[in-house]
Amino acid sequence: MEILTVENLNFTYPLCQKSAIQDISFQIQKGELIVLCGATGCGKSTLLRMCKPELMPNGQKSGRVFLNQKELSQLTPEESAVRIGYVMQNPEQQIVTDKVWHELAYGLENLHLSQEIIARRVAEMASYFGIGAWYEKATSELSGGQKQLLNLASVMVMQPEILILDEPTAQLDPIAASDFLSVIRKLNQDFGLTVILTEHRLEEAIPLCDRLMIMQSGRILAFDEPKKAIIKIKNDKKLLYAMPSAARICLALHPDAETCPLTVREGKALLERYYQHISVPEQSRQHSEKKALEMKEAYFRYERSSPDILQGVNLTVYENEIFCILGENGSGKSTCLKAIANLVKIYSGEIKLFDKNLKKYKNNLYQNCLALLPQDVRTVFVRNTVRKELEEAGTELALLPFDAEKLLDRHPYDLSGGEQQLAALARVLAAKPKILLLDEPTKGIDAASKQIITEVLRNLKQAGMTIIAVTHDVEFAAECADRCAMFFRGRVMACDMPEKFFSENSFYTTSVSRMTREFCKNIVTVEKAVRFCQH
Amino acid sequence: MQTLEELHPVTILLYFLAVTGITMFSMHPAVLLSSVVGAVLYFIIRNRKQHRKRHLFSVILFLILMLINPLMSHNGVTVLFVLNDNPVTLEALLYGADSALMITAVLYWLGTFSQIMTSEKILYLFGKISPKIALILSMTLRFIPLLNQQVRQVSQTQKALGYYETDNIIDTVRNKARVLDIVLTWAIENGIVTAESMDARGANIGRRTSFSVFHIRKEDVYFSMILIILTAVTVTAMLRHTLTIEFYPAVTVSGCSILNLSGILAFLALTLMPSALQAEVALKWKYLQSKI
Repeated sequence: MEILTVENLNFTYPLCQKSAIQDISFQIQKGELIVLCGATGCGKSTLLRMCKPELMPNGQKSGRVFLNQKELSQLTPEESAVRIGYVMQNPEQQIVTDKVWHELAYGLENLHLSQEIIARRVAEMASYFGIGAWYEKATSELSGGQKQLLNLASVMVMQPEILILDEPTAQLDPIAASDFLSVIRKLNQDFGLTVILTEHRLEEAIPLCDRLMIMQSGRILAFDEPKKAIIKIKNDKKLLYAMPSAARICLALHPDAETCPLTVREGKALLERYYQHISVPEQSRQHSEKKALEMKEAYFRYERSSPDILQGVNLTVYENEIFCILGENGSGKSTCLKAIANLVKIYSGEIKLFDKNLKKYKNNLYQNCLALLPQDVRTVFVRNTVRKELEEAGTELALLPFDAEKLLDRHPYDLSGGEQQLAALARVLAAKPKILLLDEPTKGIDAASKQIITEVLRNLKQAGMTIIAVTHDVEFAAECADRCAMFFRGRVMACDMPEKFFSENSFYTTSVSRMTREFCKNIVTVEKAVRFCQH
Repeated sequence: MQTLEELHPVTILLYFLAVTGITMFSMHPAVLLSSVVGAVLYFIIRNRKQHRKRHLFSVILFLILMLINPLMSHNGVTVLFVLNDNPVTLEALLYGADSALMITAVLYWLGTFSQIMTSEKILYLFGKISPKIALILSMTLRFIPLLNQQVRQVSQTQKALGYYETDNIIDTVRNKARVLDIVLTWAIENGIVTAESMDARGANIGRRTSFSVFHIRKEDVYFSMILIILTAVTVTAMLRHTLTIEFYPAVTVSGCSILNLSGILAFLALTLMPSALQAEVALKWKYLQSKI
């Protein structure tokens, strides 16, 4: 039985010529798990919001949406609040109250239920989600993953019939993200809950779903089982780039394939059948002899009584290379970047930039030498248009390695994640740094923007810049890094070229490496896999 | 048995209303002395060796308050000495000491009160009056650390971009103003998402419940009963004028009587109750542990 029916839906935002979604019709069956994907700005968020009356944007709308054969506009406020659960992207901003238990109870309080019923449902949900351990904590003390789990739990206490999630894992680190996705899958399997999910992290989400909906400029391109849907869009390079690596390798090798693998397991089987004998020449890359950064036995802690965050970091980065630092949350990666940028001061050890001690730089460190792009790039902006921001900083637009023209007249907060990253980059390049420090440049960004950023970083490197990036994104590191390092408990544990680095890691590695490692060691990216399998 | 802070918010509120109320309305030195003893003892039991500065501050404040009164007021019959042609009297000094005792006691009670009454308990009490006020309070408590964090982050980023590093004060002030400006924009943006999240969970339906994690237990009933009896005895003694003291012109204390004595003892018991509970719980644990 269909639970959600959309009929000829059109929507145009006020003051916009083009409609955000055009003539969309589809049905979703009870208990299905649907993944919705498409590039930023393709209308997927708008479509999701049209299915939740409270969040429906203002604008010109035509067409109808039914929940269980009842039109959405006919639902009472209670019905619409209870029956349609909605979780948004930013874990922090959705939390309303100060305590975890209060947040869980919030929706039920609104329904004016009795204390006993609220207590029972909250207790039940807290145990199901394993929230018991942090039930009495303040919401500001939680980690990003816990916050998002709390957001999900506080929607689930209301016992919705359909759950809509708008990029719920975009702001999470990979481990928290995959935990979150497995909870979603569990909810779907255990309760037959209908789920609609938009995602950037398709590598993991697509294998979970029953049907995949692919959107482009406000229209549905494909809505089918994931394998069939991917085949339908196989000629669109940009869309395909976001799909799981296994599917991309398969479609690059067999453009006429009728089906494609999704998971590492399926991808491995495919490669095993056709390409057992691949050999890749050992690669050696020369790095410059000059050291851009040298950290020796650096120790740092935030307070006298707290444990060391950096525990003797030894790190050497050569001039003109892209260096990626990977590692779990709380391992001290970001703190290491801050120490290099002199935002926190190490209490023992030495940091040298271009063979000169960091302490000797004083105020001219941030001019012509070093720039740091923080994790939340929105903190870079202090003006209300990008143009003002860049003019004030003195960025020379002509010298940028990308086209910033489109961004100039918009408010920095209105840009998409990828555009914000570019605008912030333009802002820090004004000071002409020789070393660029990036903290998770690909967080919350779709595949297409990631590609652009990779390209921009390569261009900057060509122009002679040294780039140090902290990232969770192994695919990104494999594609653009010259060398990678693994951080663990405040130390650098391994440091190598990406081919070697990822082929020697068995868990912290790209899915391509996991697919190919048995017959060939040094393949870590899709492009390489495709190139060497053809020979 | 539980310690005072584990009891129901209403019980805790009643207790502090009773002790601070009696302390403030009685001037009798025995009452004030027992209040100070009870308050300081409980504060030290709860905080152990922390807050040493607070004790030092209290001693200094006590001395200042005690000494200021005889310099200002020259009533009283027993002149100790003459300062700048003004007599300094024993009565005024004693009156100063007495009111200093009262203020010290009240400050210590309030200090403990603010430690015990966490935001949740205050919210609960407000929720009984109006669920909406309780929600607004809770949201404010959530928002303040968030705002602080954002200001810190933006400042740090701006520093890494080369701001804040100038030697010019006007520039520094201007940079700070810009940070504040953008954080306000951020707060509004943030508020919109929060509002949507509230709406999506039915904020506009209408009447709301105020959910709480507190329950009235039998300990609360016992505690409240003892509290009421002891308070009643003390208040009766006060109303019957058996706990009065006059400082001017000469010190006159109401005479010893059964009511007077029982009033003082009842209040002493009242002020020592939280410390006694704490001690009892600690002993009980020791006992239970030794049995294990």
